[in-house]
Amino acid sequence: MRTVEVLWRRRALRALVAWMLTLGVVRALVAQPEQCGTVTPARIDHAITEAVGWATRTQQPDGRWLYRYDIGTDSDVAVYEFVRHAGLMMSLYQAAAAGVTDAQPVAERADAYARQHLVRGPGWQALAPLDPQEQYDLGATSLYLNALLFRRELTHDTRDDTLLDELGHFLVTNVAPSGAVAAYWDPRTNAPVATSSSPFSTGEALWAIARLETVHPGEWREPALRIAHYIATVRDDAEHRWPDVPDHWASHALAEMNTWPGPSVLDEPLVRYAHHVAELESLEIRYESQRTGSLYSRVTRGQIALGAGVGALAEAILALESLPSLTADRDLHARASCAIGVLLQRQTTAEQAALTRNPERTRGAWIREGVTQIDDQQHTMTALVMMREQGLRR
Amino acid sequence: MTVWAVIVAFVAASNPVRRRNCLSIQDTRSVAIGAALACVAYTVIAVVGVAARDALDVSAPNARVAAGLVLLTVGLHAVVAPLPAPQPTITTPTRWLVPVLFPVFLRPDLALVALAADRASDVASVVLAAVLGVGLVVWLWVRGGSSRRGGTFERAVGAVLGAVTVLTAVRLLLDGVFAI
Repeated sequence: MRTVEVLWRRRALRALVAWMLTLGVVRALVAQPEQCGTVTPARIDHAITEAVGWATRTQQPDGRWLYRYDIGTDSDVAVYEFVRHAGLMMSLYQAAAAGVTDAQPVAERADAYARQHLVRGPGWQALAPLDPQEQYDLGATSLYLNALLFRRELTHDTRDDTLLDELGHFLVTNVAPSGAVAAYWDPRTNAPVATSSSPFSTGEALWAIARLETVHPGEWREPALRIAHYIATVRDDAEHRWPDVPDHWASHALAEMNTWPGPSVLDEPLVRYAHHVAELESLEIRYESQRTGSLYSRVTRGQIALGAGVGALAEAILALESLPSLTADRDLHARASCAIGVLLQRQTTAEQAALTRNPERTRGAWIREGVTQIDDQQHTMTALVMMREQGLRR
Repeated sequence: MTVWAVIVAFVAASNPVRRRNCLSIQDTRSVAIGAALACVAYTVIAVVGVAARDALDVSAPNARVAAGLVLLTVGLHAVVAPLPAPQPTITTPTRWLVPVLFPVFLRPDLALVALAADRASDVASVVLAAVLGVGLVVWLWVRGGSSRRGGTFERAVGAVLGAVTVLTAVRLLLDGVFAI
């Protein structure tokens, strides 16, 4: 072979190797497939029904649920927190309002249990923890108020309206002039724990107060706007949260505030914040959809997120989609659809459940590392209901 | 991606000062064929980008992240590595393919930038950028032939273009990471 041909072949081979190596490494490490599955109304309906079925089967006679279930030992861990009790109750009312009638009696039993733990203060009521000596988690009252607001929407029953306002007054008691929300209220001092904060409770309180303003307009607008601007402009710095909180609760709240009558209250900082949250949620969904749970995926992408986590991502995107500044964004809807697709893939089927020690407790649940917790079903159910209600119309 | 971002990415990563030493052939016709085919290939990649990404289950933002990371590597290499030594002249009939089309004009880093093109404006940007980037390499090759390895001025220009590639890559990365 002539020298020039050897040279040619050598350079061709080098070029081929460079291409294969570059594209191979990119595919293997950077641009892994985003596995978004197939999202259809029938699959969503089935998933909601299965999740409601799980909530029905795992509810105890007193209205509580199997809280955190270990499928390996077929046992519940010995904790129970009202924030997630109220959260699942809220999701069930949402499902019932969306036409899943089986969800309502389950939610009603949970409501009956929660009402036994309401405590009164001057002008307010709150959901107290099971141990009355513990500090009150503001998130529990926020989600309970929201659950009752969904119940009111479903039943048109106004008998709880005073309770709704009193729960709202408790939330507002915990809002500082800056808009910061104390995550806990101390029954020993009868005051908010001003130094306490949480990445979730601020947005939870905001959403509940924003929805209360929709039902009982007037009193709640100012505190809602105060909290919203705190979240949008100050919160992450003031509470030393890095990276920024991709706040799905605040996303719900902004969507709710967008429905208030009159001129839009979504000013430039709130619109900019909504866009920023959309960016963060989109990033997380694109990353999460690349996780499969395989050994290779675990090494290169980490363990799959909790069902609650993926559900919250989808909730946020679906909520933000309703904002005028984002509603036309096709990419945003694609991300929401992808998150829903991921949820549909990861729900435990009847066949998979049959292989576990107690299929009744695993079927319809989102399980990670052999454990499921009630908020895994809560957030996913809300996301699925939202997709059913608004997403598939697009 | 803006038009300017794509153009700067192509021109900087094409790095004419570094590439012309690898164009170790004598005839202009083969260079012209290779350059034209590269421009056509980048255009085709940009046009089929959406369909290709869908088939690969890769979103446009993640494609931008991938392109940004590869460009970053290419740019850093251009900043720190010496200019490539002039290669022995190749006279085979397929010299328009190697070493012209591959590895000089059609390159995986720029193919990924083209693949990340999303809207119609991005496709147009890729076409324009490919013509400019490839054209500059051809122009410098026609004008000056091979440089001496390690020529201070050319080494500096190559490093500056590498630095510009790095900046473009970072921008592309951030654009991908914070896209909706």
